[in-house]
Amino acid sequence: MFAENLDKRNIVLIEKAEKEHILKKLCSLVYESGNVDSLENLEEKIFHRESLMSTGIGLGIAIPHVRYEGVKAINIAIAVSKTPIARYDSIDGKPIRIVIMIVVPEKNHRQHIQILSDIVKTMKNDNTKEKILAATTADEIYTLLH
Amino acid sequence: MEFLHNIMVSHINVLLLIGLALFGGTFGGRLFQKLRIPQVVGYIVIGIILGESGFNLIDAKTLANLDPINSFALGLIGFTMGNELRLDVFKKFGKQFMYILFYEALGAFVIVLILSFVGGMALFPLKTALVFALLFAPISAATAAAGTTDVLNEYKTKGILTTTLLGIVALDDVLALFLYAITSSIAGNLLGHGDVNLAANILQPVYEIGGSVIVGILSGLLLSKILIRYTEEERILDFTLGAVLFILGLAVVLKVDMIMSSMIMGTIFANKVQKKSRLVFKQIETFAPPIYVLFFVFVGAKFNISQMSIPIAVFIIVFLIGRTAGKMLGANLGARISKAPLKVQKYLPMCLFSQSGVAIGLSIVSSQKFPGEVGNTILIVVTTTTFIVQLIGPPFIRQAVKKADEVNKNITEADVIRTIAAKDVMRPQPVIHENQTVEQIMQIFSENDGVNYAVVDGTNKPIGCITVDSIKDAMGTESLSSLLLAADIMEPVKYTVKPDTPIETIRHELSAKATEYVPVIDEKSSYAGLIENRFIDQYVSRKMLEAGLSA
Repeated sequence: MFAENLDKRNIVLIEKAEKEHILKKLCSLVYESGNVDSLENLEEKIFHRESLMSTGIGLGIAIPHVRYEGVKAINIAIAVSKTPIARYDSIDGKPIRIVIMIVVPEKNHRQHIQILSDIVKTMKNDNTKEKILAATTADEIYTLLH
Repeated sequence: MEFLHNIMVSHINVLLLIGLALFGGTFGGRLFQKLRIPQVVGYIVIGIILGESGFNLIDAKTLANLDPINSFALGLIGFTMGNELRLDVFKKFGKQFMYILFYEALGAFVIVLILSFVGGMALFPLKTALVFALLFAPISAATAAAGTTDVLNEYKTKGILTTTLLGIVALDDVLALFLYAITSSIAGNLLGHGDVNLAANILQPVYEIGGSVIVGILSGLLLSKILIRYTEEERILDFTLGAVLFILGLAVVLKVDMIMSSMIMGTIFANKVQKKSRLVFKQIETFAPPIYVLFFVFVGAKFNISQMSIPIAVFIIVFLIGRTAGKMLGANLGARISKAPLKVQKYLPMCLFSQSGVAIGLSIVSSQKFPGEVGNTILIVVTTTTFIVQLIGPPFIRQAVKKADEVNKNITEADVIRTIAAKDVMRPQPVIHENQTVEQIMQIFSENDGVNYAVVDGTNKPIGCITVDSIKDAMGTESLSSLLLAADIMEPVKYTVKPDTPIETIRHELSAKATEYVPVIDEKSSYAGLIENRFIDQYVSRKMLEAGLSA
């Protein structure tokens, strides 16, 4: 469910970024895919969700995710930062390297949970996580996850 | 004015007339209801305005053409009355019914007989006065179902007074027919009509009543057999109306009593298929009101003030006083002797004034059997008194059922729903905050008995709802339960309601949006409570049970 909804164009490698910048970058990628009604709305939803509780789930991974009416199809976007993002307010307090954004239409409640679960399972595998961090191109990450 | 009248009348067709009568009647009924007078009176008043004593838009000829509508109304009234004659009720109160029935009918008969004779002696020769007395007396025994059931339905009455009244009203027509058969035969002999003999006259009502019973039983059995197979509501209504119309037509062909035939059909049907009959009678209750409105508008339209003369006025007064006194005294005596409950003894005498179908029918028969002054006088007196008692009867019934505490006791689910709003049904269920985790939400579910909880934002405004299903999905993935928040798994709120939103509207919206719940918000848009379909059902059931217990 995770890999099949991932588009190669939605994977980006970043040298260095703050939390706000990286979330905005991923929002732009999702918006450019044409599956959300407005960029502002998406950003508002993503940042509101972060204000409720950080999506930094620990072990250097963050999964910002939203489900709302303005989404036409499931979208996943990944950003891998070469430099750890220190101020992400993750659960374990550790800096974040991999940010995986999930944007789901309102009606896809089950798929939303399923994708989240798939991502957690995939990232629990240290080998896969290390390879993602070591990748130098988006293609490499895409291939790894398929 | 005459010119305007001619233009109006010449351009009026039956459809326009029915539309006018229905519109006007409903408007009049509503107006009178606001004045706390039963709607029936309003219908009749509009009838007078439209009829020969008013603008003459509905004349006698038109009324004769519209008679099938009256028959249809009487058929529907008869059929729904049949529902009241359930076997268990009859077994329980049968003896009581019979005593009251005989005393009230014979009370009116005897007093009208004496008073009409005395009054008639002052104006006519002795023999003619006796003929008048013999014809008026049995007619006075009948009590009308129309005008009685209408008021009982309007005020949703239920209880021993209502049951007794319906039983009496349904049965005293039979007695009136028998009495008329005997006395009209004597009257015929007094006037020297060769073709009128006692045996034939007694056999006639025996045939009429027996025929009605047979036709009613057969139709009732057939209708039960047909309807038991169908579940679609539209089809059931079609069959029922078809059966009522069919039996009315058959009664005309066989020259048996229409109301009694349809009443027996209703009784057989109600006792044979009890569960389905409830749906059928509910459907008729919804369908019939426009037909009843027309019936009463036409009663008013028949009233013709220009036919008044001194003898007629005397007989009207005598008939009214005699009938009213006889019925009141008789009903009271019958109720006492049969040891009926105190409220039946006290208030039933106020409920028996209405007359229409059978009384008018017998007056028409009289006008045909005794053409000339006798027949015409009887026709005009009965028509006029029918009009008067239809005006004064309903307010008395209203007063009686009110005093007997039987008003608003026969309530249906729809009646309860019509009167309640969100504030009556909503429950102050605990809320879930949008930043609470699945673990915390599960805690709320385990500590409370709800299946749906509203999710509120930081300002206490409802933004969603968490159902058992949504929490079930999240619980399936254990590793996520501390990562997911209420905001992630909630179903967004589709709409909210205010405390004074009618439940009727809420029911409609819940069904249209295919959802089971709706949050209620106060004037500041903050969460005030939650309504679920099952809360509405529980509230309605409780109210109906309370009404049933107190009836």
